[in-house]
Amino acid sequence: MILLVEDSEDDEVLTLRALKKSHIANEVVIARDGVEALDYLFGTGAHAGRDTSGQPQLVLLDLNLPRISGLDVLKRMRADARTRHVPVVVLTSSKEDEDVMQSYQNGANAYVRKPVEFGQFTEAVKTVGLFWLLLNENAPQR
Amino acid sequence: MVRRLRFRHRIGILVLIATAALVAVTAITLVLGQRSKDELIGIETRYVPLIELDRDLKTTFAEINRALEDAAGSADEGRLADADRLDRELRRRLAAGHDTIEGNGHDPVALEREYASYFTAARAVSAAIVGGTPLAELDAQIETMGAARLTFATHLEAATTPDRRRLATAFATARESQEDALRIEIAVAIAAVTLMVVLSWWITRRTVRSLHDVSVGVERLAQGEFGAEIPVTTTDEIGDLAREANRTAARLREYRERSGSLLAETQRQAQELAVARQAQQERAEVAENATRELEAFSYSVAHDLRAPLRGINGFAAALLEDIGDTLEPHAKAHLTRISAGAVRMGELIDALLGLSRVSRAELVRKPVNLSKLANDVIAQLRASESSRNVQWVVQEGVSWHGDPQLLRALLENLLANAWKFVAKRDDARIEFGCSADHTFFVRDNGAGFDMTYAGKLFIPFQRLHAASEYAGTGIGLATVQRIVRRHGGKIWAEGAVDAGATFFFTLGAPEGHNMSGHGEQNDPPR
Repeated sequence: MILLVEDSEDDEVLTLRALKKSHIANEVVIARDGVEALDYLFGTGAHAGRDTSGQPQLVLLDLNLPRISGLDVLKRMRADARTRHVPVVVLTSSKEDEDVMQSYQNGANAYVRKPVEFGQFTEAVKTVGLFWLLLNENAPQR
Repeated sequence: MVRRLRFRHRIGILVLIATAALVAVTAITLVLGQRSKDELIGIETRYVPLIELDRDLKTTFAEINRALEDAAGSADEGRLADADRLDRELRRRLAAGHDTIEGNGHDPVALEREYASYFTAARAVSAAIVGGTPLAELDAQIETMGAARLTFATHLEAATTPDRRRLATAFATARESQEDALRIEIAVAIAAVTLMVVLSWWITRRTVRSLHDVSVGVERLAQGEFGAEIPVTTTDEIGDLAREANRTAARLREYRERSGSLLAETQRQAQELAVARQAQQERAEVAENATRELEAFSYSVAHDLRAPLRGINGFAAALLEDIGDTLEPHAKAHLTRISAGAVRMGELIDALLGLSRVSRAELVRKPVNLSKLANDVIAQLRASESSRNVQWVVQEGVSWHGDPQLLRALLENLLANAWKFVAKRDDARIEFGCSADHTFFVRDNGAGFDMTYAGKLFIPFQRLHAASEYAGTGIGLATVQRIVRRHGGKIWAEGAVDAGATFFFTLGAPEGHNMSGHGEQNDPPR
């Protein structure tokens, strides 16, 4: 299962399309902002009662999000034992040095800039998906 | 008068006065001492003859009496003659002591008369005895003789005994005059000492007062009151001092006036400087605010503008994929153009962001091996289009102190430019190097440009070639120029249409850097 944290519907559709084109059939959960993402991850708010022992295999995280920013979501995830080892790939428009640095400092596993060109975008999503979902061996869930 | 005298004169006068006082006291002591001594001598000279007279008269008188008694006792005529001789001697002595006796307050004539009566009587008695007259017949004469003898002896005693009262008076007078002398001496000594003390005090007071005036003046001077003159009341050393201090004050006044105007000038300049600095600071704040706004703007440009572009491109691509085959060829081409337009706009945005990053980034100067950097960039370019055949000439060992990241961007832009514009040549050649005066250059033999438009080369979005002919954002050279300027250098270009272009640039001299940019040196300095 993939958690896609993305406020832009366009990008959501394009990402889903890219995943589909890459033949990645994992379930995708969408969070529109940081609050939704944290609610899902920790079983609170709209997702109260969710069994939090099941965590995503991969989180695709945009940085520029309404309410709680991507970086804060990342910090909260890394501070909590349930999500500490969940792979987080920052997928964003920015390639500011500051953003890249902050992401890695807060425990991002990868930083990918969304290309404008859809072909390149698809390629990026495919590569990320294949690596983190198929090649990479996640930490065992407890 | 004293204030006209020099100090050494004053001290001389004091010494003179002291000496004079000492001499006076000594002289007075000597004179008075002599006088009292004279008085004592006077007493002595007066009484010694009296005592001698007393002794001589009494001795002779006793001898006369003995001679007369001997003559009477042994009926010796010879002894009578002795008595007569002694009688003459006594008379002579009496005559000689006439004044002395008179001086002692007695009558010498009466004494002579009494002696004469006695000797006449006694001579007669002795002569009678020697002549054989019985003693019984001589009773009356002997009695007269005894009375006369007693009278004379008594009066002689009185006449030759010093008058005690007179003596006492004489001694008292002498003592008094001695005491007087002592008193006079003490008085003179006291007067001399008092005079000295008063004189010294007066001179000291005058000196101290004038010194005080001068010291007050000098103190005022020290506190910066150069206006007040110290009164010059004396012609002595203190006067000299006051005059000197006044002259110093005058000079200091002059200096102060001069330094005052200098200070005023300096203060005015400092004020102007402060105003200018504040204005500069305000401008800097404005600039900083502008930069911050620009950064925020850049960030939102990066994020917000690219997202819709991605949508435009992505959905156009999706349409092409999904229904492309069913579309008219020109409709399909339109969709392709939509995609391409979005991609190009993305590139423009990225280029603009790069340009603004160049302005914002902090400049860090480090030794940079430009030759190696050029070779790295060339390797990238070759890898991107491995089919092209371009001759590269890179001067080895070119290095400079500069920002590694910015210098990389600079070379990337210039070399990529050259790479782009030599695309149509078969004998393509690109050169990187450095001249002796530390001017770096990138030269190509590509499309070149018309020097008429050389001024437009570095303006953003100004292009000298059609985008269809040579792709590009029009930002690259503007970015290059900013990098060069941030290093404190200059950039200019020479070229001709179809005859290639050369971009020259300098990178400014970092402080303490020995301008090693030429190719002979292999290692960057430091």
